[in-house]
Amino acid sequence: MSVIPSTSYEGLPYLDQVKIEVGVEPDVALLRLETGEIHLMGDPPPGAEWTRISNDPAWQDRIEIQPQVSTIYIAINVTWPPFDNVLVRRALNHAIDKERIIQLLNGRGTVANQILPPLMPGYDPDYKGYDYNPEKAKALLAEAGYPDGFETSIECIAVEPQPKLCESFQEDLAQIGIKLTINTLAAPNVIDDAGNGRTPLTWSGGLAWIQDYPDPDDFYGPILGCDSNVPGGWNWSRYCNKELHAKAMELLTITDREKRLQGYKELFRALMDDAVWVPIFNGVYTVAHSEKLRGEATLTHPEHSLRYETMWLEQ
Amino acid sequence: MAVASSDLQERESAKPTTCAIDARVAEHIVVSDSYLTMTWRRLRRDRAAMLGAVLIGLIVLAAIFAPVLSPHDPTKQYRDGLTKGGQPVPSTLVTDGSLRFPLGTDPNGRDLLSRILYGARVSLIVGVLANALAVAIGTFIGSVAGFFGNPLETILMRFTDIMMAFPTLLLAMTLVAILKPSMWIIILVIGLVYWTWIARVIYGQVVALRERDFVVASRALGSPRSYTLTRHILPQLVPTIIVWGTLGIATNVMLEASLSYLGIGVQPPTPSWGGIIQQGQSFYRTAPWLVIFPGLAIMVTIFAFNLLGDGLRDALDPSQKGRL
Amino acid sequence: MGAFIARRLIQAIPVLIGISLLTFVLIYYLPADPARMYAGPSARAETVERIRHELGLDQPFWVQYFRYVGRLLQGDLGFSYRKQIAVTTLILNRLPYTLALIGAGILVELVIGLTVGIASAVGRGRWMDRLGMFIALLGVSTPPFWLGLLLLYWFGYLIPIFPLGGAASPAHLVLPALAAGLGGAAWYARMMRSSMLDVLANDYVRTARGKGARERLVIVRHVLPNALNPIITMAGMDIPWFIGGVVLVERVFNWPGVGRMAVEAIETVDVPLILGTVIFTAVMVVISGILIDVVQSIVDPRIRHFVRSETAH
Repeated sequence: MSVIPSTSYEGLPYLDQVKIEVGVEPDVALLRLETGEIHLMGDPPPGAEWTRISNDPAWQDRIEIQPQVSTIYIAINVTWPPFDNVLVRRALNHAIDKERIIQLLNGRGTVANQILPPLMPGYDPDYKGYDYNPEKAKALLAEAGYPDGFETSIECIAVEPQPKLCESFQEDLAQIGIKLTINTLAAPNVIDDAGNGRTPLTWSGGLAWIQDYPDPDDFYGPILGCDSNVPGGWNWSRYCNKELHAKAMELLTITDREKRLQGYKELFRALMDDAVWVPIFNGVYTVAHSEKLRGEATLTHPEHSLRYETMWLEQ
Repeated sequence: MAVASSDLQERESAKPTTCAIDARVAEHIVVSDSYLTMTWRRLRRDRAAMLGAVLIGLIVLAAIFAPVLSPHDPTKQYRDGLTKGGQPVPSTLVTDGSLRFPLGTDPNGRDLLSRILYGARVSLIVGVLANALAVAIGTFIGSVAGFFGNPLETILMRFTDIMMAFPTLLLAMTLVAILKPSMWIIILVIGLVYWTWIARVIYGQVVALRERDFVVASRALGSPRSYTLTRHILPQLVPTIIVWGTLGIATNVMLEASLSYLGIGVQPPTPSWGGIIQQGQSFYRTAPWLVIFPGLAIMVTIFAFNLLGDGLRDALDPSQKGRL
Repeated sequence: MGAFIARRLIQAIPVLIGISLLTFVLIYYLPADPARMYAGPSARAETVERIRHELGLDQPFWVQYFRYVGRLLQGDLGFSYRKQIAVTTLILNRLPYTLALIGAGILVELVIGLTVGIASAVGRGRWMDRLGMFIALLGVSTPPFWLGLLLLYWFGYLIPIFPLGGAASPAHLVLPALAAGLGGAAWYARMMRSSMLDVLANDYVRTARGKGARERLVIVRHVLPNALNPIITMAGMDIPWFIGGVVLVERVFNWPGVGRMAVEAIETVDVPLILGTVIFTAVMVVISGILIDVVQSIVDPRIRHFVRSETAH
């Protein structure tokens, strides 16, 4: 696919043409970048190569690392027994070793303890969340009436590194007696099943949730609000709390910034109390390019869109 | 297959052909104690077959004693099983001379050696049981079609032809995907797609046998047909069944590994050799051990069953000796 | 010749009917509901019922079956749930890549396999023969996907002679063809050797030798043509198996063929696409079986006079 700039615009862009090739595996794309065949990789560099290139001085000005305004999470379907029991959902929150996930991601992420990512207004730096504590998780399960655990399943997309992360959850949950089956499917199938309440747990890795707009409502309305709890909606927790929803609707109308953000802090604390997710990590966006490619300081926007119009090639 | 020089249609490992033991030869084989003793003697002298038997013995022992032999729990993800950067760890024998992870670790920081040892269980259980099922179905269909004649003969053998038109792996993939993968489903599916080759061989032999004197005599004496089939014909098929029972395992181990490689095999966290390769293949350049060792395990297992199967065929049917 | 081909085509009809019946049984008894799949996950129950009626899914088994056969005869394999494109179109778009891989793979199988087989048979019992047959047995024991990954590692990465994946140039075809073909080459080598030894034991070969004909001449004139004959028959048995290897190899090398599409269809639970691929390849297997018989009847005209039965041993 080629993109040729319109001639009716002065100044930008600098490039005469952008050729986009789709369907190239990330490891092949990286090698082609090394041989100079291409200038920019669309995918993040593959995990197997990340440690090597990120530690290689020759690569230092060829990779960009940007925090991404995102929270990647396990959505817990609150209508699916036994997850209709909040104690079970809280147990899940104590059971997952998030540090391990960061390690499996080659450090490309930071541990998340709440729904909002740190770069989002309304993020609560004082909130500590659920600590990694399998003993406590077991105790909660026992309290909920499942001292020997139970069997359940999670859906994950079939793209690296997601299946690997799901296997890590599987191992963590096995420690507290939950036997987790992993259903690895293509992305559209996971979105379908999660959006229609056909799976108890959904791993959002590779799918959601990256900010659309810099307002905390973006992490409530489209994915946890009552209006998104419809067939095909992105409320994968199938969660609708009328009382909280009324408050959230009210928050939308408040214009006082401090008051509004305080309101969101309370809202998201309440959601975490209800343990509708297991927030796992906040993403880090990485991109690799050739030394010739120059552009806006970082080549990327926090919303992970590439801005070709600001790029140029050094001769 | 009327036109092929029939003794060439020998079944070989990994790829289904027909006829392990030629129907002609079956006519002069009388299954008896002395025959079995002779066979055993011939087999003992066959060094390649003995190598195969020893290798199979070792793999079986590895599978049975996996909990004792494994340095670690095959599903446990170790903190030191990943580097700081989250990469799989290479063999600690090479890096610091310790026995911590003798073959290195997988992308989740699990011990590769333990996973390969436990993986032998899946390969052997699926290989042996699926093949037992295939041999049972194949023998039943082949002998009934061959012995009872038309219309059963035409119906059953046409059905066999139809089944043979489906590419084996593609059909197995489809059935497993529809039925949802688990070990028992995989055994069932492989058995259901693989019996056709055996049915053809058995059919060929039974057709040759049904005109033989002792069969005709048994019928003339008024024995029920089922009696003649089980008492007079089935014993004659034993050598074929033994050979196929061995060679077919090789093929089925390959099929299981292929399904696991495609992600529709035995599900995680249970380790299987094909699955280990699938999980590790994106690391093939930085951590090639994740591909090399489980692949070697698959190859050696298939090789061992092929060696023994070839040897058994030669031993049970000396006229074929040295031909393959 | 024409009569022979006609007879073979007629013989193929019951097999084709059987294929259609078996695949239809799979569709009919499948847990997934096609009407629901087409309607989409958020459709209302009435919509699903209307689509069920429109698609004729509320008709009895045999009515549905005959309609299904009617569609198959028109080359209609149904609609992909996921891609919303006709399955036939999807398959035909990918087919050239798969045919290229199959062609190159069979070339590898035959060239390497027959050469090794002939060399082994001629030098029977010598160390070359033993080594060749040892490697051949290892070869038939090697999973094609593993071989593919090893080839990628050695010749794509360690010694970067060939590209790492994709299908942009003929050079991209080399490693996949080797991965798909080497296992089969090992099998043909064993078969060819065995077939040669059979022919070598025949009286007419002894006679030719006794007359003082040179060994090379005996091999080329008398042994090879006869030894090749059963090998052609075996090519027919090889194909359903070979296709499985192609599916795996396409996956390893990211080769944009029908096999990779089938694997993707399984990940997206795209039932019409999966079954369409299965039916399509089964029909291809039947056709290639007929082609092989025709080739063989040209090589060895005696065959035409046999009343050929698929099932006779």
